[in-house]
Amino acid sequence: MEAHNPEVSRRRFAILGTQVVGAGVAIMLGVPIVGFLLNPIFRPRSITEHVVGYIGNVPADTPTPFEFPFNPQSSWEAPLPDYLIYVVRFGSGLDQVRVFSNICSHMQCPVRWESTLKLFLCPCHGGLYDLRRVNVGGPPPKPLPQWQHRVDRDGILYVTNRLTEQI
Amino acid sequence: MSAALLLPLVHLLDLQLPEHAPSFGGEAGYRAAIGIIMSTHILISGLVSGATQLGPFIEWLGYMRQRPRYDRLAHGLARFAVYYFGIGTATAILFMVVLVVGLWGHFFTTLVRITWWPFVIEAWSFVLMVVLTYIWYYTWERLRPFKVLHMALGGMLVVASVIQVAMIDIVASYMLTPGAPSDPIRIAINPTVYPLDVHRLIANLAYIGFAIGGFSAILFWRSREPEDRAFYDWAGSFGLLWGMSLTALQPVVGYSYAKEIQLHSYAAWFKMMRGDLSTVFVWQILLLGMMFTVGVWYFFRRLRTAGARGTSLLKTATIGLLILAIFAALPYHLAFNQDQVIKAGLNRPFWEGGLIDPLGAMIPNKVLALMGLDLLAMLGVVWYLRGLRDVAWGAPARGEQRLLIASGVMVMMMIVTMGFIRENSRVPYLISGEITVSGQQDVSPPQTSPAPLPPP
Amino acid sequence: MRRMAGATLEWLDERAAIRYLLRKGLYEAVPVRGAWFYTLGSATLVLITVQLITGIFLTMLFVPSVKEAWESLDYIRQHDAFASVVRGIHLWDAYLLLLVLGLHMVRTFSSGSYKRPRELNWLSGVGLFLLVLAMAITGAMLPWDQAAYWTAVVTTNIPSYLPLVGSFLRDLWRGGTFVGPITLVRTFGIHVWLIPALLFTLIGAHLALLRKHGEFGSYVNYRGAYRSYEGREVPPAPAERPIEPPYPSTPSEEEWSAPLQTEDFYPFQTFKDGVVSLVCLLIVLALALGIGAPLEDPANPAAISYTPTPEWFYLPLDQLLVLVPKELISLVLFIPLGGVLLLVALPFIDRGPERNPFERPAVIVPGAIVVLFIVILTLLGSGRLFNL
Repeated sequence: MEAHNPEVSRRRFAILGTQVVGAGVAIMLGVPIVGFLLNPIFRPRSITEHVVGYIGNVPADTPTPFEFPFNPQSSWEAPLPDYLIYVVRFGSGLDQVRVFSNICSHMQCPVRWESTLKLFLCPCHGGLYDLRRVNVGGPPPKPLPQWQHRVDRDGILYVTNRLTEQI
Repeated sequence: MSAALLLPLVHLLDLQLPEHAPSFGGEAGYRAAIGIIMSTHILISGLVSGATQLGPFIEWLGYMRQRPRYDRLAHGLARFAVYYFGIGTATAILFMVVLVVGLWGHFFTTLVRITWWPFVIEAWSFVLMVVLTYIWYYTWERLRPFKVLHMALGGMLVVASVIQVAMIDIVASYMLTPGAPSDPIRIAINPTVYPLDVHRLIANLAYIGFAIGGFSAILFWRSREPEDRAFYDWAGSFGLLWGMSLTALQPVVGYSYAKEIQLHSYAAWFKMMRGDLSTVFVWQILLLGMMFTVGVWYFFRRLRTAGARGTSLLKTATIGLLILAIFAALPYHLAFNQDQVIKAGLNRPFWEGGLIDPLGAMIPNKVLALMGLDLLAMLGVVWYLRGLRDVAWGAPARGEQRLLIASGVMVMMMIVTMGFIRENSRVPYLISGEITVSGQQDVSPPQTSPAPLPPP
Repeated sequence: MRRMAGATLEWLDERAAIRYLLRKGLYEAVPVRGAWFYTLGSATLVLITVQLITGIFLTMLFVPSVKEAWESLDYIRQHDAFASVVRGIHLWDAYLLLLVLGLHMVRTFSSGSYKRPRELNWLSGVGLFLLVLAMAITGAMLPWDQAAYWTAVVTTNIPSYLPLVGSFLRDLWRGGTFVGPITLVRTFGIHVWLIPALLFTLIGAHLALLRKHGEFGSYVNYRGAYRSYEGREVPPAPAERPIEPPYPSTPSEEEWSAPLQTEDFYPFQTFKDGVVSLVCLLIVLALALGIGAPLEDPANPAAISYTPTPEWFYLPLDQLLVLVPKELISLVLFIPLGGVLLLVALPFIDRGPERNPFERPAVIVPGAIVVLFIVILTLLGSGRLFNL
């Protein structure tokens, strides 16, 4: 225990004070900044539906492209171009419809259906997916992501702005 | 005059001169003949190519380091190029003019019409190469006071040599993955030209490195002077270092090459990787792994003989390389090719009664094994370079020299194997998707209008 | 007139130590031999400065919104030739900067300029290299044409391959799961403010460290070089000559601590620096006027037949993405990270005193193999894209 010395404790007070002020400034600035950076990830996104059309118009076993207006983020209003979805009908039942995105599971390049190959091809690195969205060739590690959708009793297909899995 | 002497002799001996080229026993015979001639050509010309590219670089290194042994080695490479240039090109001429024009004329004229400019540029680059090789060799001592000029000549030789390889690569890669024949840019920059360029240039440099290693081992045994023995000991080590460090780049380039073949000439790729040639490829990867093992083993032994530091890590690396080499060479199909396995319905692991060995899967096992081989080989190179400080040249043990010769022999086997795989992957096509091997013996008289090309 | 200038100088010198600053700045000693190679560092600095200047003026014509980004650039492409040239200079200067920076790294690597006591200089240099790469890629994302949009999608997706935190980092940058307006405006802020702030700090540190220890230069300037030449005499230590500042650098091997011959930075090195920088700027201007900066169609995720292609400096990574099979997909991240780690560890791996690159094969050979590896991947990638 050092002897009580007014000079030493004054220094220690100043040191402590500087540290407290520094911490206070860091918190005052840091919390809002970090909060703002993280906010868009945790902001609730409104789920919207988009009418695609009558499912009977889609030929069987043929991925058919449709344009899909999609606001990708909870952000201010901005004129955004459409996304592309592929609607596949495997049979006549209402539950035999699938809605695939064109987002490659490798690096998210735009995938396209090649009717000559009967496969989805990703032009970036040669990834291949079959009719059932399974990754069958090239580097993609997972199948093509799907959009949540529903088909009502009249056979109208609605696609939501939610994927069925985390990408 | 000789005809006047010979013809009566022929008459006398009742000889029957053949009317046309020998038949070689049919298509298989032609392909075997071409294969033998081409392999010989590649084994010699690869060395000449490597010597004309590596030699000037070694001369420059010797100049920067002021070491007379580098200069002596470069001079030796120049002499080698001068002696063996002729026989290398003679085999090429024999191959092209006699065999290919004579036996496969249809293909050859088509090919030359498409890749006309690469052939022309290659011919002139050969002229340049020959002139420069001779000048570079014969002015060695005379231009010693003007070493920079001499090295500039060597530099020009490197350029000519690289251009020559690039041009023939355009032709060879076009045969495998043809680009659009009407667009000269797309003929030249076809899908496999860059992988082939890189693969061949590096292979020629690595080959001459291993060859310097092997030759130096033999010449060491035959030399008596202490300086000669020191020189050949050093040269063997130097050559092996070049061979090992450059070969480390090859697996990546080769994988890229196979990827382009998969995308642009799928049948050839399938034959190499899953079909009949896949067994030969397993042999190739075993050779590669053994070559790396033997190389690092040499590094370990040479340092140990010289009493240098770093030997324990090199010993571990050698053992690691041997294990990885055996692992990499495990076959996937315990049959000759994939079709046989599928036909027999035995497409499952051998412990379930099938014919598949999952340990031999290309992805990920062989890829990981290749990466491991590469990294250990580079580690061996670096550790050897570190230990070279303590090495006094001139007194290696016999075992080291045997390892040098073994690595030289293995690289020659790899080159022939690679050529065999490459040419047979394309069969029955000579130009993928366009011209086949059969129907080449078209000896009908020329028509007034040119005959149409066969349909693709 | 002369007297007024002299009086002004006196006035300034008393208040701001001008004479001392000028002498320190202009008349520092630099090694004599191999000086043309040392110009690469100053060329890098000049090119970065040009980026800063053209960048400042670009912020006066570019709007970082998903609609107006493309429109503002399309407008100047059609109606403002001068602005188009500024944009062209910004693009081609960026490309040349990456090339010159690479050459500068190769030069400092070969000359052993990262060795004691200059390790921090090398480390700040590695940081600068990464920041410049980050500037290049974030800048490529801004125009919001097709090329920029897909660059944004693919680049922001790369962190997602990191284990555990990958997806979180990607969403942090994008402002959500998908690329959108928030991504553009965040990338703009990163490109214009965040990274330049870090760049200025590191450049300041890099130059201050350079001044402290002096330019190392090339091994041929030092006594240590003569030891490795067979049969050559080692020149004596320059005891009688005064050692000019900043040499000798702090505790190091005596024979590598001070060059045998030095000259003044101004005007000898500044002349060489000026020539090389001028050539670089002429090349940039020629390319900006001749080719200019391209602008593709506006960003459109629904374009079925569009093939995204990477920037040329991205080709090695892109070729890795093609080659690495899906079972080993994390290699795509770990191979470049491993490379960066080797760069950072270099001064601590190669600690020996030898500076002659021809006498350090254990370092030069693997370094050359790595450089060759990157060049080969670039070449193979360009061939693949040409034949798509």
